[in-house]
Amino acid sequence: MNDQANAQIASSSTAAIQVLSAQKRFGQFTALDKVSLEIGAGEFFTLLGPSGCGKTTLLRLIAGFEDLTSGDILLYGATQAGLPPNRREINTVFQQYALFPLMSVVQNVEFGLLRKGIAKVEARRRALAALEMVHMGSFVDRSPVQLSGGQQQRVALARALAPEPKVLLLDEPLSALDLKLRQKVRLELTTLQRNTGITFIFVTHDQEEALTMSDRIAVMSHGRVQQVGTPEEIYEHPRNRFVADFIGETNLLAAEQLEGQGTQATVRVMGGRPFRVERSADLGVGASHVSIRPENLILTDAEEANISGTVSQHVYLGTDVQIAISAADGTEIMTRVQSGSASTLPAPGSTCHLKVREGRARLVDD
Amino acid sequence: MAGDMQSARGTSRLYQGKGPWLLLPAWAVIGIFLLLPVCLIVVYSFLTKEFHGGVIPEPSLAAYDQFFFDRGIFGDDPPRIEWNYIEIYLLSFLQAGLATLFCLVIGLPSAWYIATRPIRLRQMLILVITVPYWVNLLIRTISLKFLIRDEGPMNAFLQWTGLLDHPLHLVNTSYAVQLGLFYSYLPFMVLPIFASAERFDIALSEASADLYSTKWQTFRLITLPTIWPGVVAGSILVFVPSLGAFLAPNLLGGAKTYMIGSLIDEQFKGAAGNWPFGAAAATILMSVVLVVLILNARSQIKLKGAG
Ligand SMILES: Nc1ncnc2c1ncn2[C@@H]1O[C@H](COP(=O)(O)OP(=O)(O)OP(=O)(O)O)[C@@H](O)[C@H]1O
Ligand SMILES: [Mg+2]
Repeated sequence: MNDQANAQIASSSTAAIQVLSAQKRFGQFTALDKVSLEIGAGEFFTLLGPSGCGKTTLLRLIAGFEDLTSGDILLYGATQAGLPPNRREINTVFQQYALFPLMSVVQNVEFGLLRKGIAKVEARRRALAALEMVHMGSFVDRSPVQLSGGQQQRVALARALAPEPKVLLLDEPLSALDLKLRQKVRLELTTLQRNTGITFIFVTHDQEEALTMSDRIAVMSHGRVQQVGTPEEIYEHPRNRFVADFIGETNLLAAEQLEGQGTQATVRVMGGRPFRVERSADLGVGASHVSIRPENLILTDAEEANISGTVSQHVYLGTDVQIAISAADGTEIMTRVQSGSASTLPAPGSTCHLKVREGRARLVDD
Repeated sequence: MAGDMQSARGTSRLYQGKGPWLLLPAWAVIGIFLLLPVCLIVVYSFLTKEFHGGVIPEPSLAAYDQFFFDRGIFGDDPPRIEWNYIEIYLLSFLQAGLATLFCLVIGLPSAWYIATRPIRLRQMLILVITVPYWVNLLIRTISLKFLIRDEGPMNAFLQWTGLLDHPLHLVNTSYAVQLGLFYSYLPFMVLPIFASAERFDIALSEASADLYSTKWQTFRLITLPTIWPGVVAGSILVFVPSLGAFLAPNLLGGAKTYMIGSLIDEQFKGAAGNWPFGAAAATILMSVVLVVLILNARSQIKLKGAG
């Protein structure tokens, strides 16, 4: 009875990876602190965060290169604790690719298949198919040291995909490529993920990469997960100051909460006119900052002003002009207007009034 | 070919030596102090023995004849194969081969261990490996003899612990020679393997484990091929000098365990010596070593061509 019930839970859950309050310490230093995540089967999931926040550590724990200090990691409901990397049906695309230099491209790709006990002929066939899939079909007999960075990256991808793992881990696989190539490969990666249906866990510190490629993103900092959500949720509804600040550009301003109920609140910033902001229902009591994206601050006149200050400079950005304004208390505030309206811009040194676009400001946790 | 430019990757022309004349000093030293004496030895082996040591410039095959054939006491019996010297050679090959094997079995894990330590510790451990070399080989071999002789500290200790009730007779056995060779040449195995292991990228081991290799498969398929040049170099550096060693067999092996080195050494000493015979023994040794090295080099090149 009990077993049956358990089996049902396992089969009904579509989580490919569950990370259960995973903790990792290196000596005294806590690299990961009680991280819990659930990554769905077939999802393109991204770990996003600044350098040193523990992304690689989490990936290495999932792959099995490091042991958890406490907590657990499940692959389709089965604990992976104590399993070495070779016993986990998870493959990795390494940041520096780690291709075997003494083997040819095709030998690299069939390596995993052969170790899994697949017969030589079949392994070769599948390796060639994987190389074809990443458009490397004409480089089969090359040595990896004779390939460009982009080509190596494709071989590394083919090598990790060929054994058809349940989960593919990618540690900043695009960071060694130049900008143009990176944008092209981004698209190819998402297509590849959709076509294969393999769960991808992708690590990056590039927010644009994360926003454009992922089904869901976990934003991390200092060994903790700050927020998990779709790119839109993360961008539009940041939960705390860190997320608001890290994703896109924003003004984080100290605010006085006048009233707050459910998902709405009224706040005042620097003694200006009160305005309505969004908040999440489970927001902490200490919440005292609003996040307003530059494009959501509009130039207006004195009567309507939510915020006022002195223009300190203009920065021409192509389609937009960014205006830097310093408020009475010295806080720097950024806003943006379209370049076409350049003639009507307030001159540096003049006083300027700003209005918050209706419903586009958010109250965030500290 | 289109691949030519790419195959130059990592070997920038800019920093490659401009010409073969960079090798000139090295060639000069090798030519004068190595090749010339070797030629002299070969020439001497075809000359006639002078009775108080030295040679008479008169061509003769007597030395080789003495090495390979037994013609009885008076030298007029029909020639039979002389096994004495061949046996010494075979025994020496066996000793040198065993020394190489032991050095490899002990040296490979040590080299790997050192190469995978943090950089500071690595430098210190390598320094420690070379410490015995601050003392002359002769002195080290003699002190080894003091250590292992019947009344020496090693036996005293073993008897004191009760592991043995009478001393272990090591001195004047082939085991002592083996120990001496192993001890003399171990660093020559460790250092080249360390040099190639140090450059090994540990991410390759992780990639291999990630792709379903057991630890043993990773070692055999990824690690060993990478450090193989070091293993070959180390084996040559141990095997060749072991083959010609005479300190260890003379001091530790006594009369019973005679090796090529001792045989040759004796021929050039005092009135009892026989220079052409010593030169012939040395020439035969060099020829055999040369053949082994050439075969090895050819198999290395073939491996590269296939891989
Ligand atoms: N083996 C280790 N020993 C000690 N500290 C470690 C070890 N590995 C990682 N750390 C520390 O753990 C923290 C997280 O490291 P991690 O490599 O996971 O960061 P990351 O998010 O991948 O950063 P990056 O974007 O720079 O790659 C860092 O502060 C790092 O110094
Ligand atoms: Mg990292």
